[in-house]
Amino acid sequence: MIALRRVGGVLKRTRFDLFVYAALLVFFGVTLLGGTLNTADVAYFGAYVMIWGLLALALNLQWGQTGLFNAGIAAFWGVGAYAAAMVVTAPALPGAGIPGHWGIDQRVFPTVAGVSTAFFVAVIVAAAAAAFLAFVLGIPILRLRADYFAIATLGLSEIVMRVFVKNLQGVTGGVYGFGGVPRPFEFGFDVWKTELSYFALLAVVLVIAFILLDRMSRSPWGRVLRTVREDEDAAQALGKDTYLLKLQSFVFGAALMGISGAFFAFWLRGVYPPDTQFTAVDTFAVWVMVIIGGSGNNRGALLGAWIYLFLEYVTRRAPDWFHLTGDLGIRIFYFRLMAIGIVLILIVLFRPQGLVPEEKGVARRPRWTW
Amino acid sequence: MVTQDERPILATVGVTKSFGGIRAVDRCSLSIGRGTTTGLIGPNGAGKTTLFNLIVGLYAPDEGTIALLGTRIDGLPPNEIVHMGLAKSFQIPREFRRLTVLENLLVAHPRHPGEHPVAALLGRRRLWDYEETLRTKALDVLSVVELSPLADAFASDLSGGQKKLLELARALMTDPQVVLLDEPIAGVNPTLTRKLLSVIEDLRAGGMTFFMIEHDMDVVMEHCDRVIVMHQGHSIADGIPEEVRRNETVLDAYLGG
Repeated sequence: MIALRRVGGVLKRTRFDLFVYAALLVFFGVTLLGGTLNTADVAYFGAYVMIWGLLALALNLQWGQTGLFNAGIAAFWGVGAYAAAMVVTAPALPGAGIPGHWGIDQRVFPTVAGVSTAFFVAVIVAAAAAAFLAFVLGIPILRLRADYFAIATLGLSEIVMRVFVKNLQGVTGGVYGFGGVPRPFEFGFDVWKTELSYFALLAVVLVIAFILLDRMSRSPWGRVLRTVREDEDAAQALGKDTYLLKLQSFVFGAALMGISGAFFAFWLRGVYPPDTQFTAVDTFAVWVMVIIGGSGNNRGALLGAWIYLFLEYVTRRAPDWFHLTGDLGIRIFYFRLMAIGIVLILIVLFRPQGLVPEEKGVARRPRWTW
Repeated sequence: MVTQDERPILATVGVTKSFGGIRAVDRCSLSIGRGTTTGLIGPNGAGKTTLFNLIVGLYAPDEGTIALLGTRIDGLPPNEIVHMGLAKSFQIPREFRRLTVLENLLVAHPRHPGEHPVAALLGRRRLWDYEETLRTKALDVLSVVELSPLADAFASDLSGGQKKLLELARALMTDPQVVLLDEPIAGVNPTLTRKLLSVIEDLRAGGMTFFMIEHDMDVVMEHCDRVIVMHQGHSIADGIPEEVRRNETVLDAYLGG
C-alpha cells in the first residue's frame, strides 16, 4: 500500500501522458514492423481514437471545468453524425423495403483541390445542429443541478436518438440508418492511403481543437467556469450569471461533440441508429475516458481516450495475435469490460484526480496574443 | 456617529419571507446609514441570515421592498445586485476549493471582459493586460488581509480563520459600497479576529458601509455604531449599542421572557 502510494507520488510529478504515448508508439511501431498490423489498421484505429478524443475534450469542458453532469453525449454526437452524413450524401427516396433518407445533391458543392467542399459544410452543419440541440434542451434543464441534470440529459438523449432519429423514416433512414457516406480523401484500392490521409486530417483537427480549447480553459472564462463547478451559489453571490455560463459551456461542448459526430460518420461511412451506435454506453465510455485521464485537464481527457480504446483494441485483436481459439478466443473481447473496470477502481482508489490531474492556477496568459 | 438623519444607503420596508408555515422574516423594516458599521443581533432562529439572503437576492421576499441607494433591488437576481455595489460574505466560508487563493480573488471581480467564450477564444492582448491590472489589485487586497504568502495555495488548504479572511477579501474585490458580513469572526482565533476587525475599521473609515451579524457582544459593543436586534422575524430594537444593551424587550428576547 505504502509502495503504491510512493509510486503515485512519483507519477504526480511527471508528465504521465508522455510515457503512455511513448509506450503506444513503441507498441504500434513494433507491430507494424513485425507485420502483425498494417498501416491501414493502425491509421484506422488512430483516427477512431481521435474522434473519441474530441468527445473527451468536449466533456472535459462541460464536466471537468463547468461541473455539468452531461449524461446525454450520445445525442449530440449522433445528431452531429446524422447532420453531416446528410450533407455529404445524395437524398434517397423511399422504395421497396428502403425507408429513404434526406440528403443534398452533391453537384451543388464545388470541388477545391480535389476535395468536395461538402465536407467542410458538413462539419459546420454538424456543429450547428448539435449546438442548437444543446441550446434548446439547455434552456429548461440547466436550471437543474448535478444529478437531476444528469437524469434529464440521459432521458432527453435517449428520446432524441431512440424516438425521433430512429422513427423519422424518410429523413434518417429509420432503423436501417444509411451508408454510402464518403471520406474526404478517397484512394480506391490503395486502402492504406485512404486511411492514412484520414488519420492525418483528424490529427490536424484534434490539434486545432486542443489548442483552441486549452486557450479557452486557461482564460478568465475558463476560470469563472470552474467557480460554477466548485460552488454555484457562491459564484452567483459574486455577481456571476451562472446560468449563462453553464449555457455557454454546454453549447460549446455540444458543438464539439457534433464535430466529432461528423468525423465519425465519415470514418464509419454511414450512420446507424441505436442499438448499433449512439447509445448510453457510448456516453459512459466518454465518461470513463475523462475520469481515467483526469477531469479538468485537456491533456488528461485525451490520454483517457487512448487508454480506454487501446484496451478495447487489444482485447478485440488478441484472438488473432495470440491464435486464441475456443471459448477464450470468443470471450476475451469481453475481458475489456473487466480490465476497464479494474483500471477505473484503481484510479478512483489511488488517484481520484485522474492520471493527469488538473493543474494549479490554470488561467495564464497564452504565449501568443494579438 | 449616529447617522439616522441621512438618507439610508440600504433600507428594507415590511420584508416578509415564509418557509412553509414558518415566517422566518416577518414585516422587517430597517435602514442602514452610509459609512457606518451596523450590527445585527438576535437569538438563534431570529431570521438574521434569512434577512441577509433576502437583501442579496438569494431569496425573493414574499412581501415588502428592499432598496439600495434608493433603487429597489428586491426580486433582482444576486449577480445584478452585486453589480450595484452590495457584497456579502457567507457565514460558512464558501471558497472555491480547487482554485488558488489569488484566483478566488480574481474571479470575484465583476464584469471581467475576459469572462466570455468568444473573448477567451480570441485572447486579445487588451484582455490579458486587463487581467494583469486586476492581478495587481488582487495582490493589494491580499496584502490588506495578510494572505499574500498564500496567494498560490489552493483555497481548500487554508485554515478556518484564513477562509474567513478570504471571504472578506473576495467581497472587497467587487468594489462594494455595502458589505454584509455573516458572523465574520465566528471560529476565528483572537489574533486573526483583531486583524479582521481592524481591516473592517480601516475600510469603514474609508467610506465603506458594513452590516454584520455577530454573536460576540463585546465586538458588537466596541465596533458597531448602531445595533439592530431581531426577534421572531422582525426588528425589535434599533439604536446605539448602549441603549440596546439596556432595552427591556431585548433582554426578554434573549433570556426567553
